[in-house]
Amino acid sequence: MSKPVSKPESDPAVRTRALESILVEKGLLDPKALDALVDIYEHKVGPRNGAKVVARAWVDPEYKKRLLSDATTAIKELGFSGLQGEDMVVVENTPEVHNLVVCTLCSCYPWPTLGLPPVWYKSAPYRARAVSDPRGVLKEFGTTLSENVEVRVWDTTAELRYLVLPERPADTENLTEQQLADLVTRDSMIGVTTLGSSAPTSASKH
Amino acid sequence: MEVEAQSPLLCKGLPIGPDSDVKFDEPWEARAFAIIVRLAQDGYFEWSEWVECFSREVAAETAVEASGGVPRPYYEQWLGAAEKLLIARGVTNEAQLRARRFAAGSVGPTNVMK
Repeated sequence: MSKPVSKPESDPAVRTRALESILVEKGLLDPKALDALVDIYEHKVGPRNGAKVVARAWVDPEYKKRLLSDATTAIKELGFSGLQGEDMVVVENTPEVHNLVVCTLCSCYPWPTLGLPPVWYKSAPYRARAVSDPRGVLKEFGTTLSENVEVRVWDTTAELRYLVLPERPADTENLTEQQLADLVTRDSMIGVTTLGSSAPTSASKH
Repeated sequence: MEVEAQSPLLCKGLPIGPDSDVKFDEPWEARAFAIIVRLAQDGYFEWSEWVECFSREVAAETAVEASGGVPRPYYEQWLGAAEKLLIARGVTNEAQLRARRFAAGSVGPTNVMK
């Protein structure tokens, strides 16, 4: 990413310090609370949370049902909840439907389950192309779907965040829930990839 | 924002790469991020208010990129939106920010952008 040379007075580090000091002085902000938040986002929140949700849905049909009908509550069951009171929606990939998540306006993202978004998610080309050319975007991630798979693109909003429930890879019947969670990648939960190299290329049973 | 059919953004590759997973390049980015999340958590504004303000900033930079220019980096867009929102809310104003930047810049090492 290119970074223009900043003039000293517009150095964003200085601007951030200035803004923070005003807020602290006005009693609107506690610097310790900021430290704690930064720590949470740098170390504690990440795609592993979402992976646990996905693995639970794979092994527990009742949980999956709850997850697909009321994701916010079902995700809270595992201890992950939103910081801004936003609602979660989980969309399920099937042999017929593939889901892809974008935020065309800015970079809204399911933080509690996926952490902070990757650079490409926030980029203008992704925000523009995910809607106009989702298959092209998928191809760039090495994901090729059969022509008869319907691609659904979900545009995130301030109030609604989407998480993709990827298809469970084949031949994973003997894995534990934890082992299954280890298979789940962040990108598969955004919907830019699928899981497992055993993607059905030939006619597979439905 | 409506994306125009001929937007060059549509032919641009995605910045997929090893840097994709870096959360914050600089400490100030984490600070600026956390300031907004914290104020929203405390109910100082609705998250949707923030998104509206931030989206405007992002849209402006997207337009810059769509016309072949170099947009400001993501967290600078974030910071710009944060300043605008807090000015709009009457928490601070341009003059106070300028004065405070001057003071903040003169204490401690500044975080020089690469």
